[in-house]
Amino acid sequence: MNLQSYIRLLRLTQVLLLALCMPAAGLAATVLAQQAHDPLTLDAKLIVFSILVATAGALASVLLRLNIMVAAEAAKPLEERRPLVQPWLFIAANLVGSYVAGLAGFMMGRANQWEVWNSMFVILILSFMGAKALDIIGEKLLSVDRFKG
Amino acid sequence: MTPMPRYWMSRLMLSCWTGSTGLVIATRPDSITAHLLGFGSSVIGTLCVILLIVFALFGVADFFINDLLPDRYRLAIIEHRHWGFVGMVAVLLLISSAIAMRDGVTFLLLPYLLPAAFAAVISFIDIFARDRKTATA
Repeated sequence: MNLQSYIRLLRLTQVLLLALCMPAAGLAATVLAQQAHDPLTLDAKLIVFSILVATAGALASVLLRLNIMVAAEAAKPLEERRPLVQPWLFIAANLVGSYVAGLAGFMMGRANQWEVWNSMFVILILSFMGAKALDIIGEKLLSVDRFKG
Repeated sequence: MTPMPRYWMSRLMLSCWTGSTGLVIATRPDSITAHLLGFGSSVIGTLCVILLIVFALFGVADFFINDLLPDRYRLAIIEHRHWGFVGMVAVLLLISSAIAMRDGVTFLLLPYLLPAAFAAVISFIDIFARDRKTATA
């Protein structure tokens, strides 16, 4: 792995770590609330794990996108290969789509008082679909050439 | 892009770790986790445990055939193996959420959340570290 690849991987890891901040903060809040005997603990847990499951949906969609981008570069001869152009743009779009769709799934589950398995399964599927939808919209609307740098 | 050395060890360890967790749930229906997940009584709970074992078996098979055996033996899943790890992340998080809802946020979550985090990182690394031309470890 050359230096450019390492730098790319480090940037992506930074984005991933930033994306994990929200679930981690939620988890910390849950643990603190539980220690303080907060009566809303159940909802806090549900929110935290819904965010985590939605992040898994986003991860699947992000990897689908990155796999396409990396495979396209890998198909070229070694001297023509270039670093990925602003991959954070697609990662951010996927995360936003996933969380918005995951929120819709969460609200559906709460409104219908679904069992935890059904609720989480719907959130997982919806978050993947939401991430993919926003990824496709982003691909149509945003030209990555404008963000080269 | 050259393959990452010793990267196979992470994949093997993760596959064995999650596979053994799934096997314990599947073979000991009287265990706490099997009760919490509703193994045998809940369709999605049973499906999650079976999927966990299947993903782990794919990971181990990928290691034995693609990494350990000579080059003339090749399992075609090598180019799509990151999906196995993404599947592991999804299943482990579903299991964690079911445990958290029924038993609270306890240390019982660690054996599921930790491998989920590792699997997420490995699936990311696999996209970049795997050489698509030679497709080795």
